[in-house]
Amino acid sequence: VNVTWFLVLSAFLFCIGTTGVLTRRNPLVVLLSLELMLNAGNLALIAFARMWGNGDGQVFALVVMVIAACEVVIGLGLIVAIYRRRLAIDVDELSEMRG
Amino acid sequence: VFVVAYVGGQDRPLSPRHGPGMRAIALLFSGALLVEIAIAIIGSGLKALDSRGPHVPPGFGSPSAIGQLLLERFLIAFEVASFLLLIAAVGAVVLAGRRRGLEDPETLPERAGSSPMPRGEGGPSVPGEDEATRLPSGGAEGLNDPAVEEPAVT
Repeated sequence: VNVTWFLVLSAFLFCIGTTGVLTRRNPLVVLLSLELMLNAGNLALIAFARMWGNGDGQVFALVVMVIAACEVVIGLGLIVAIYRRRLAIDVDELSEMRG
Repeated sequence: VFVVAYVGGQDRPLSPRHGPGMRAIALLFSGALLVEIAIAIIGSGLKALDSRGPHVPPGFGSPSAIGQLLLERFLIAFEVASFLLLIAAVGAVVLAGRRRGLEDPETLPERAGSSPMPRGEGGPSVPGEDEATRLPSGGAEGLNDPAVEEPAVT
């Protein structure tokens, strides 16, 4: 399989994630779509690492996974805090950062 | 999936409230993004894109090779990532921890199973105030020293 197909799949995944972030209102679905976008970036990184025969891209993919884990941790903490305050779980209504 | 099961929110419709206009714009934007990425891939001019890549040694991408890279060449990134994970864990505990001021005061009585009471009539209006307002009247001596009063009653 050529490297191009990996990149095409990565682009499709990234666009699906972008669509989810732009159209959905539930923050859980937004988080899932963000994960999809990050994993598309991971796929592109690993495809390029294979293309150059270099292991650096794989290490960067691991770092991106760490960042994705941090983002999910913070996002889920926010969602749990929102749920405890009985606010609407809706990203359009959660426009204030004031507690 | 687990968090969806915990938090709920399935009853809420997931479609945008602004109608199909915003949705169409979002779909258009993502389609434009796809076209842009495709142009970037095609127009990059990398000849290696149409190949299967170079022949790599057998240990390429193995856990030992990646671990060696992580601990030698990318040691600083590795340490920074570990600190980032630590900060994220602490932040999650701070965010999701049960704080006293986190809940609204109006929702506290209904969480306890009773109807919400108006303020100033003996109900717990503020979380820190319920001890003082719930004490019965006439217990001024018991308020000062309840340990002395209680053996005398029983």
